[in-house]
Amino acid sequence: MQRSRLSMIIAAFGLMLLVWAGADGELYRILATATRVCLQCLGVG
Amino acid sequence: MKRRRRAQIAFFFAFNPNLVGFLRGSIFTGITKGVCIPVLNCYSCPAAIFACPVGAMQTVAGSAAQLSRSVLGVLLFVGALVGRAPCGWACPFGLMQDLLAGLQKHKLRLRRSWEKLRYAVLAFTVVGAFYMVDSQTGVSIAPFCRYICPQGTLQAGIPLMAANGSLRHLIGGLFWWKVGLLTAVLLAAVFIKRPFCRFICPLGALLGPTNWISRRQVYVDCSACVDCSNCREVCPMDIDIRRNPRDFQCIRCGDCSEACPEAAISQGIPPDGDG
Repeated sequence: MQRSRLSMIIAAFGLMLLVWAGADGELYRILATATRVCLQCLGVG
Repeated sequence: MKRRRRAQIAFFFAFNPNLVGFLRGSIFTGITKGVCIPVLNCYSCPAAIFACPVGAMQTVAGSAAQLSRSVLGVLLFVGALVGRAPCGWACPFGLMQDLLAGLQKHKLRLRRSWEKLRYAVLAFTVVGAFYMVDSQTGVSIAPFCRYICPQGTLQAGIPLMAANGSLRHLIGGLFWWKVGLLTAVLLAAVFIKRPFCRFICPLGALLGPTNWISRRQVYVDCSACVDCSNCREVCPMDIDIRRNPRDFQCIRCGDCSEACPEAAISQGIPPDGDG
């Protein structure tokens, strides 16, 4: 398979994963975490 | 100023526009925080408006016991198009190391075998996210963020501790460990080319293999090469692009093609489509 075609298939697969994550509520799980101060990131949790 | 440096600064402000958060000692809570970007940019930084993929990956692994599809999706999508270019053109911590690298011209050259350490850090990050769980809350302790991430200390830990008095009483040994690690990485960046990206970064370890299949590629015309080694000297990742244009460590910065006197190195999308 041509490498450039493979790259486009993988890019499309990545986009599909993103849409799936959005539909499945994963983005809200990340949103819920990312909008709180992460004590681990701060090095105190 | 070089085009790449301008892009790095522009991306830094695009990912971190909420500068007023530094004064308030609080973080941005808008809906864009649910979206990951393919660079190491701590989501606990007061100015950040997007999520860090490493933090998000650990969150999803710890809370839902699965690999994050949004993180994999973003990395596969971006990686398949441009490979590790986000490391060279958009990563704020890459920018920090590039700026520090300018302080000292002659760099120490370390053996490339040490670069495999980043895969161990990646394994620690992913496996630890599943199995290192807080016994009280049942949530992952996010081992990379907790024990290693110098970007989190630089972007979030130090600014929030300085601006938010209610957090300051939490400072303990772990905070000082991370400050020490950050100091070591920043000092190392003066004498070694991009030490964090080459030896530690789990995101670079994940994005690296996409260099092999990415649509945008680096091309080296060996017949035009005069062996001046300018490309090796200017490479911020200390690789020899002539040996392998698809090297997993190449961040597609283009410094080598700018330094080549014979224009033997180029970047682009193959016109015939076979890459």
